[in-house]
Amino acid sequence: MRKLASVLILVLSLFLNGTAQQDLTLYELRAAPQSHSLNPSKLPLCTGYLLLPGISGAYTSINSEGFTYADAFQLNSDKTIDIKLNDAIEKMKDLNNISFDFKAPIFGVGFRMGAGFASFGIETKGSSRFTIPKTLAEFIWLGNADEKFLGKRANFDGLGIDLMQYTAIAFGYARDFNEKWTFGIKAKYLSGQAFLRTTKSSIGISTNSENYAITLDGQLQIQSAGVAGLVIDSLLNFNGFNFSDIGNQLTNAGSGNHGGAIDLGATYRINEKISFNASVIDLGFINWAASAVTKTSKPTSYTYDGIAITDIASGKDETESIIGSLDTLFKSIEFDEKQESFTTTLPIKIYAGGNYRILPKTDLSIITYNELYNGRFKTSLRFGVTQRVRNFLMATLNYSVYGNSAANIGAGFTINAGPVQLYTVTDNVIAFMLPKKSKNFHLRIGINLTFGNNFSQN
Amino acid sequence: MKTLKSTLTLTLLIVLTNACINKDHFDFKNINDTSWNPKFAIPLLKANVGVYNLFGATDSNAVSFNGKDVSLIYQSKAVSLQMDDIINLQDISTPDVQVGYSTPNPIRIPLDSSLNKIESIHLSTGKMTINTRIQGTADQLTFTFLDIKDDNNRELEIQITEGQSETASLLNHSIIPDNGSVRFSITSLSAGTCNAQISMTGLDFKSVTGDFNFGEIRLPKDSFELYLFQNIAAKGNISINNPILSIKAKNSIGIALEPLFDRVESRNPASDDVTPLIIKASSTINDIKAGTQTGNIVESEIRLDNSNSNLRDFVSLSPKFLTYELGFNIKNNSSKPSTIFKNSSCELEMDIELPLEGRVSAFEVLDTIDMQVTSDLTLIKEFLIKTYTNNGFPLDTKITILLMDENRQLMRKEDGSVMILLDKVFTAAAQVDGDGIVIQSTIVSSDNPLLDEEILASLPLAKYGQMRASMTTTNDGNDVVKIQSDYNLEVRVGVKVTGNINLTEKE
Repeated sequence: MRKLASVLILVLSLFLNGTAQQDLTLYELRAAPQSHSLNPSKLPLCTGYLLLPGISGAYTSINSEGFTYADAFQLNSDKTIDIKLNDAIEKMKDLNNISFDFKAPIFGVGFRMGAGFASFGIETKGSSRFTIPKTLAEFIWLGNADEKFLGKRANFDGLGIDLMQYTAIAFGYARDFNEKWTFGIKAKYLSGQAFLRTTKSSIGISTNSENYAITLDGQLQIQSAGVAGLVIDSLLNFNGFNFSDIGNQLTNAGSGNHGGAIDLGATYRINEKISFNASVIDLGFINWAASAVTKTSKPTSYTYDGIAITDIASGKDETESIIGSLDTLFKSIEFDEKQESFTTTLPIKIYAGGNYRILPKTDLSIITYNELYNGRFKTSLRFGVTQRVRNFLMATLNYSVYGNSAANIGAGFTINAGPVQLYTVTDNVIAFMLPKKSKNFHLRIGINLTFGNNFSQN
Repeated sequence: MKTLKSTLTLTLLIVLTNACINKDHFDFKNINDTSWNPKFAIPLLKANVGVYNLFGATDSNAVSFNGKDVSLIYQSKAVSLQMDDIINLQDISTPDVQVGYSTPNPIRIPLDSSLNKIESIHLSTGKMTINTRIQGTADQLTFTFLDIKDDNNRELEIQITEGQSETASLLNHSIIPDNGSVRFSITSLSAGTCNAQISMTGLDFKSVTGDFNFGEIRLPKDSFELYLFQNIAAKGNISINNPILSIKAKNSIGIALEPLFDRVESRNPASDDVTPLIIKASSTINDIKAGTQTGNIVESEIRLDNSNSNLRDFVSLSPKFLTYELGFNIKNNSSKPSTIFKNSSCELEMDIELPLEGRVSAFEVLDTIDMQVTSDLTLIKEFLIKTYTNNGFPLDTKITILLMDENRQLMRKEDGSVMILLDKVFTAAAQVDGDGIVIQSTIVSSDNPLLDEEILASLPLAKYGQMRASMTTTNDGNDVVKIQSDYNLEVRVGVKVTGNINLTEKE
């Protein structure tokens, strides 16, 4: 029990505090072909590459906002540990996001064509974000009879989920136009598999201080499409799956959601030592049409105030307990359903930075990363140094500030043995060394095939 | 270059040094015991009790609403006084005596003295048998009954040969007694004597006319329960201001009946107190009106209340069993004789009406409620019962709940005292105006912590709760209040528990 509780809190604290994927470290690791996807104008330092499914790795990022392991577990001078969940919850923000991103190449190939570089890739991407109000954690920990909640409305507005899964097929081309300018563009066809978003969430629980009657009120609006739409529709309509036709249902739900996006990048070299670069990634949309539905619940308010004594006295078999009343509540929630397609944009990422070649094989860099998604804007800043060793090793180290964290050390390297390249990148190496104080977890690792490496390129 | 490398190396060293994991921070064996103590408030029970629920009426006719005024009406079973139970014609038989015939004076057969004032009896059945024995010659005799006539007003004649027997039907004949006897004469062609024995048997009547004197008539003893609440402890006092006892009669008997209440009493089964119903000497109670002379029903009602009886004291405490053996005296019509038919009857129904206006003093109501506490109470640190009442009745109420086991026996602590879950939770009466009518309900909310660890530990063993509600009207039971149909008592019970959940256990 002790270990389980501790591990749970450890994992949760790793989740807590951070933002979505940023790849601040990968941006400088040009030896890894994957960095090309962050700025199409940053040509890979090879004449060609091949990415294969499974071995070319995956990208995982887990971020959240809230408390850390150290906030929850306090080490005393006598080496005993106190669990201080109360203090830890205090450190949470009003709305805390827990996000999980995943990206894996299915196939990728790139090759140099004279002054340009062409690329083709298929990649699957998934992102999910759970928004948890601080009051929910307090409510569970303290109980509804705590003075914070008794006689008041416990506000869980904003509780929600946002997930998207799609496959991108990209064609890219970058070219040095002259000594100073390099431009790159990548056009992507997107096929959405699943989408689920809470577009409106207004939920609250009130406990009457005079008679302890519990009132649940709220309104929910959910947009779903693809496989997620199929699942949501079955859950909310209590239809269940028609398992005899499940294969067709899933296939139909996972196709028919089309979209497109473009990536743009530019690099400007002032001279041999100084250059500036910028890119806009995932400027695009997906039109969700398969199993697309927007469900809006009618404002609901349900009060449970105990079992009626007359029901007991009359020997009624099914007196409504609190569990029974929840069942009644869920069945009474009515959803207005609009089955029509809708369009969502992708999180737009903007990188902008500068590079100074301090030594022939050493670069200093600074970049800002900005993300705009669903009306929320996030930004971060990174300072880094990158070292190249001949054509087989590139390592980078950086310091970044993002989210609520000002202590993020990123590191990454690529190492080649002939065409076989191993790469590992993380934006926060401290998460592995100091998990108790970390606020995000980020890792890229895999094996690429690169040909004709030339790390001296600018 | 060297400087840069050194700087990089140093930076890396600092980072790695600071990044050293303090393994002590992950030594889960050293986590101190930590408990989770959330506080949860949960509503348990609710009730909205109106007048109909409160008085536990199972018969919809038992609670009567006259506008807003409420009365409880208790009805006895209907009873019926049948005339054929009262008037019973006996067989008449004379001894075997020597009688003379062709004598001038008729011979008399005396009838039952109860028929002294009867003018006529119209028979529906019966037979006359004459047995004779010869004395001398077998003459032909004619017995003429002067006071027995048929529908055509002809006297009954029976021809008989001396020494023989003869029987005649009395169907559709009437007996018209002459001074309480039936006369007959015997004629023959010659004078003489014989032995004769006359009997009239199987007599039954269609109607009887005259003045009747049956003495006191009593209905069979019966009883019914009078209660205000279904479950009571028989303690305390309830005083209803204006109770009414009403006897509704449907009388087809052709005589008026004077009711007798000397054998009507109420008894409290718990205390065995008996209160007889007493009619005030100065008061006049109506008679039950006579039916028509043709046997049709006439309805009448007798009402007893505080003005003519001790009815208020009679119903002062509930429950009560009312036992009654109603009696009647015949009230003959002074101006003309009365006629009673065979199928005449008097149907009686007794009601007691209790208008809910009066005083209540420490009146206790008992009830048993199911309780099932299945939770593991070792996970609970504190336990508090929250009661909320919105009282629209003009009754102060104190509620106590005692724990009972699966055999419905009161559970007791080690010191022998009963286990009290809720001790005299008080609900103030609604405010009333000068007429005793509620003008404002009263809200009372109270917290009742359960501090006794022995009782808390015993809660899962309790299967029932005995609820005792003691009620008193305003001003310590001295005010007269009215219960109206729109009064309501809202009761809500909740619990607040503080958990005691151990998150960790030291190994």
